[in-house]
Amino acid sequence: MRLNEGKIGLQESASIAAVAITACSVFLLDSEKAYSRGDATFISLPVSIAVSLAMFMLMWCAMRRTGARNLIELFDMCVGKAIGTVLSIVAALIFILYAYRLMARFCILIHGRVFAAAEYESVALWIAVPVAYAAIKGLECLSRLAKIFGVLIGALVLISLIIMISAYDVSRLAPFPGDLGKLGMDTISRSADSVAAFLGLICVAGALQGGRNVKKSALIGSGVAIAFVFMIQFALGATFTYTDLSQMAMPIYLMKMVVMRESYLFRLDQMNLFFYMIAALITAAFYVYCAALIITRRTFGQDIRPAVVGVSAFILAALRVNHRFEAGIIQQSIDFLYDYAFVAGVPFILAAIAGLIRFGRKGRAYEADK
Amino acid sequence: MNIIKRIFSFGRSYDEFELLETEGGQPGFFGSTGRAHKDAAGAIENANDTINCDVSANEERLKTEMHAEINPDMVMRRFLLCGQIEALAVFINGMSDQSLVSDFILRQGIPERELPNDAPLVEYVANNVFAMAEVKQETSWNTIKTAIMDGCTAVFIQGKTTALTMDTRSYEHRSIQEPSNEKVVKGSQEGFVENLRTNITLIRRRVRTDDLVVELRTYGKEGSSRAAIMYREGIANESLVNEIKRRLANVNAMYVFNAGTLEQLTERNTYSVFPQLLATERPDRTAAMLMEGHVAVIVEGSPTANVMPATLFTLMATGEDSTMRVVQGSVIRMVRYIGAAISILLPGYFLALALHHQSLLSSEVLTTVVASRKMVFAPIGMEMLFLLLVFQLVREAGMRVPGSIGQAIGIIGGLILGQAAVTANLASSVMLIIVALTGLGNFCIPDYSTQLSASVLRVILVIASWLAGLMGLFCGAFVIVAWMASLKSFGVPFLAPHSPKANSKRPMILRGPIDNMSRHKDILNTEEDGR
Amino acid sequence: MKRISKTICLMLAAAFVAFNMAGCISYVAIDEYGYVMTVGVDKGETYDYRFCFIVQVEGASQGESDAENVVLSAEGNNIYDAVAVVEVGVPYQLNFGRANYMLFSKEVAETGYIARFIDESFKNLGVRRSTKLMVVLGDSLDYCTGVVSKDNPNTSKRQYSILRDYVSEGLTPITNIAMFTQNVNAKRGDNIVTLGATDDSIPNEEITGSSQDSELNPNSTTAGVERTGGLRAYYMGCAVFDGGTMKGVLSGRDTEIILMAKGMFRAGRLTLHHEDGEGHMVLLLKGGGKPKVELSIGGDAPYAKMSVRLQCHIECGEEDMDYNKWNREVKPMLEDYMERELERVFTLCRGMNSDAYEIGKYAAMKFHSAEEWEQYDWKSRYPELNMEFDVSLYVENEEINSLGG
Repeated sequence: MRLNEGKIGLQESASIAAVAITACSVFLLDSEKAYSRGDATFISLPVSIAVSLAMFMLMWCAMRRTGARNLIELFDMCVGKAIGTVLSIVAALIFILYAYRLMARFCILIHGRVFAAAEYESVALWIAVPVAYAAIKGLECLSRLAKIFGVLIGALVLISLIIMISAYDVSRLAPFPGDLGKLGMDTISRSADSVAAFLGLICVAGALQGGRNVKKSALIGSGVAIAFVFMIQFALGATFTYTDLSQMAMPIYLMKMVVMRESYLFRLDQMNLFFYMIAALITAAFYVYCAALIITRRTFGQDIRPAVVGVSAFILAALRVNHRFEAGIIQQSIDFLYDYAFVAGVPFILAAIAGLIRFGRKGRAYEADK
Repeated sequence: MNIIKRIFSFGRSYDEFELLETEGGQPGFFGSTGRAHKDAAGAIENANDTINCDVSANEERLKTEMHAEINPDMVMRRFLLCGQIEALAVFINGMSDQSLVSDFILRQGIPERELPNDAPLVEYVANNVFAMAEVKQETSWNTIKTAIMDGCTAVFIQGKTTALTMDTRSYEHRSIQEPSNEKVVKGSQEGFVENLRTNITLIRRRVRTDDLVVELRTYGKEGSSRAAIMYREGIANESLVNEIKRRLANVNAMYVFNAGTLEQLTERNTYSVFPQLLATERPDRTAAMLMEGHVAVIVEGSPTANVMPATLFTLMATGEDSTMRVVQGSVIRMVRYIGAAISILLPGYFLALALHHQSLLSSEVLTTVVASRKMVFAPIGMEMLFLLLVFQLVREAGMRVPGSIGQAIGIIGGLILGQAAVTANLASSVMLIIVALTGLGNFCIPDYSTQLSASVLRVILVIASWLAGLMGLFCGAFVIVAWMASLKSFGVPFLAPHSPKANSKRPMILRGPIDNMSRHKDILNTEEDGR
Repeated sequence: MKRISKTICLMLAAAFVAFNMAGCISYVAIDEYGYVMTVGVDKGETYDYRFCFIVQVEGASQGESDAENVVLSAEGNNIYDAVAVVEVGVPYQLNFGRANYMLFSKEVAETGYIARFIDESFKNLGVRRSTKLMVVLGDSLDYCTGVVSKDNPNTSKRQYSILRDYVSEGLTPITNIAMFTQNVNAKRGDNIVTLGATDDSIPNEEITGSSQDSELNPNSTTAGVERTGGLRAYYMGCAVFDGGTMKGVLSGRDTEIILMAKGMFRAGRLTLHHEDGEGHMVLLLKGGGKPKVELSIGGDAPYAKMSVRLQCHIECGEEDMDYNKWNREVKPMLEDYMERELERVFTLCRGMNSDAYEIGKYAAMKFHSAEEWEQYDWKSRYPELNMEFDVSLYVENEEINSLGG
């Protein structure tokens, strides 16, 4: 068997969870929808992570109760093989959707802001190849990348936020808290951004050496992500008003330009952009790997590499097609799926509840925890 | 007429030699060997491995197999053992010390003496007749042949199928000197030599524990090469030791005379840019790593020990690190890592900014770069690659040219050639400074193989930056780090103990306090950790 | 054979990928650009606008770090047309990535073109949002030629050094594109933009592309003060905006007052003449942080009370001052004076419908949703705003402050 899962430690798994959740929450935010009626994202996004964490805990309890070793086994044990297969496909599609969204977001950003004269397809290829490579290398490679780059990028983000302190003005967050109904809706809908990371952790639970480690990774990773997302969104809200934010594709990239001082440090926003790109590549590669793992396991494959190559090629094709004017309907469909991806959480929750009920109090403990 | 014939004839002179290609068969289209070349040496025949009880038969067999009639250094001395029994002493002149053979074998064996009837003859002779420190009884013909070729003396006794081998090795070898490629300021100035026995002794003098094991192994098609596997029994991970032995046993080359060849034959990822073990000329460093639980392989004829497993942090450390104080050692290490990072990233970064991201450069730097490139004809990417190539040329030339001339080439290449290139508008001064800094950073890397790896990575990143600016640089760096993250050296991840995190509290880049070094390395999963 | 075909396949795949990835990220090398340091916009004669550019290029001499500035200009209906015309006549492409200043003549600023110009140009030209804005009394082209110097080709750094000194004196603000667009879009305050002008009595240096006036105006001064030497271009005061449209100018002194109200005042000098005409007092004022504003929006008209804290150091004029004199006489007089100044400048700005004091951002904090805030329409209520000022002065002089004054 060549599933390239290996064994990873707590630090690595927590790193990959933190990087994935933060990247999806911050980089995939649709500015127009998020900021059009005020800026409360520094509340809605961290709370949405907590909401998806609650969903994860439910699934984790079901995993403990059923003794499932990974996501596919969990679905099969909770709702049977037929429905389990459908749920697996939905999970795989969620992974592919989020990997695509991340890669597309950075393709558009880099093509628009940095390489305007270049062809979009070549930018897409530059982004897709490292993702495919890292995914083929497997989970150990991905988790180590997350640990190495995650710390680096986290430090970079913190430094960026700290050097901007003089430019923050809390009054820019007003009016606060904005439309409460929208706030609630945003919280629920944006919880889907972090669901993929939690599903990924359950998917690769076998490599995490025990259910306890899965839970710990999720808690630590989501804790770190909540802290970072809060800080980033609060800083953005204190730097730009909601009217400005609603017109910016990735406001974190533009933060430093507010400062008046002439300094080399404040010109490094393009460098920062590529560090953020690394975080997105790691996350996208992780999701590609998880999707390929589900496909390989479901098809009883022995080698994950064909599935990785297949998923990567599919995403690359979507990226290239996305840019063509005829692909407007495709883009709209993807946007629709993305906006309502949180609905996919419902069957997962129901499956977990079904598993808990089905196995009752006499469920098996997760084997590695015995 | 004869002159005309000689001019227009196609014949060649009688004594001109020509190596015919067809001797081994046609080579394949892609250069693979034809069938006729496969196993040209043939599998080792399952020949008769027993010793004949007739001394004459053994003598004849040795003459045939070892080409004694052609090899003038093969000496076969018939004598009467204890004045009674036919015996034959065989050794190779030059490999064995003749005076040892004469004084302690022949002089002890020839005089008449009474032999006991109740004791086995061979054992009696081994224990009581020959005055040598080491006398072994062998029944395997191949073992005896190997021992003779190794410099030992073999004695065959009439009527016995057991022969005696005695260690009479004494051949000329280089004396212990300072290692040429791993110089230190503080620390031992001894380096390995080509003699295996001497190298083993250098380590034994430092590792005076009773668990140090030295296993001598032969490998290669005809057992022509010899190596010593050294480890601490009960400390080094047993699976690791077994894996190393397994890989050595699978070495199928005809001969291996240096550690570098053995390294490539035993490592898993042949095409990896990074070395997967540490090749060191220093016995103190080897001894320190053996104490931590590593395994060392020393090859006969090579003044280098291969220590495995090796991680990136091992390759970036020197033997001198532990001799320095904490703060100084930490600073030196940080400088080393910064130098390595500059060496790999700086050329690509500069190229990316100059070609694609000019807005990141300050106006002063912009002006300087633009002005310095005023009359340079080559595109900036070409210029960078050209200067990197020149740097490698100067480096190689300096290494190959002997003595003081080699040092002068470095100065000539660095100063005069560089200045001339700028004056001739072949290169710009800013680019020259970039490449010079890159070179200095490269030399900060202590391990030679890793230096070469850095050179390769640098070129890859330069090309990636040329093509796609910072995106190419970052994507290239991402792929390289992913490669490193997935690489394993004998089962140990290459980036351990950082990724994956190990239990060790020892800092990786900074130098920790010396009392942190009391434990074995956690990443090696030593037997002591498992208890 | 399997291994060979696998190798060939991999090599073909790598070549395919490399071919697609290579050469499509087109680049222009560093020495093929002319770097635009400053962009100026004036009203055009033939076309709508005249755009001028201070371009930094390599120098003519063989020096290693030699550069020179060239002032280029062309007319067009938009900046792209002008760039196309300019590039036809020069051996390089214009790169706006290092553009640090955008100048608009007063005429152009008064039409509200700045916001439109930013919208249509900065994304595609690669201009950064940190580019500083400036309004120029007179021609931008004239100003550009007045700001370059043959001796120091680093225009950007020099401009910033001068600007920074002015800002540290509190005589002019710094505004960049990001801040400008934020205020225009958010409608919580209005912009004050650096104001520049040229002193025609100071001759231009011989700069490539510059227009050398053959007859200089000897009566021209620098903000009413005659000077000799230095650059022809200088900074003075600020331009006051209502949204994206310039409404008026204020002197350096008035700019200091606005900066105090915004909380951006760092330091500045104040000279007060005694009422009896004998002697004067020079104070070094330092900002005490952001002012505290209490705003109430209920009732017919909004009402705000602004408390400004300032620190001062008496530099000369009152050698016999002690704590009691300071506390009883000087401090109340100075505070009263500052409050009147704040009131005066506020009235000036309100008259131009410019919320230069940014009271709007405090108003926004009174609302809990964007709909309510947008419905309230602060700008329409602003002319009715009543303000009260309270200034607290703290003296730093040791001899006066020894008792905690």
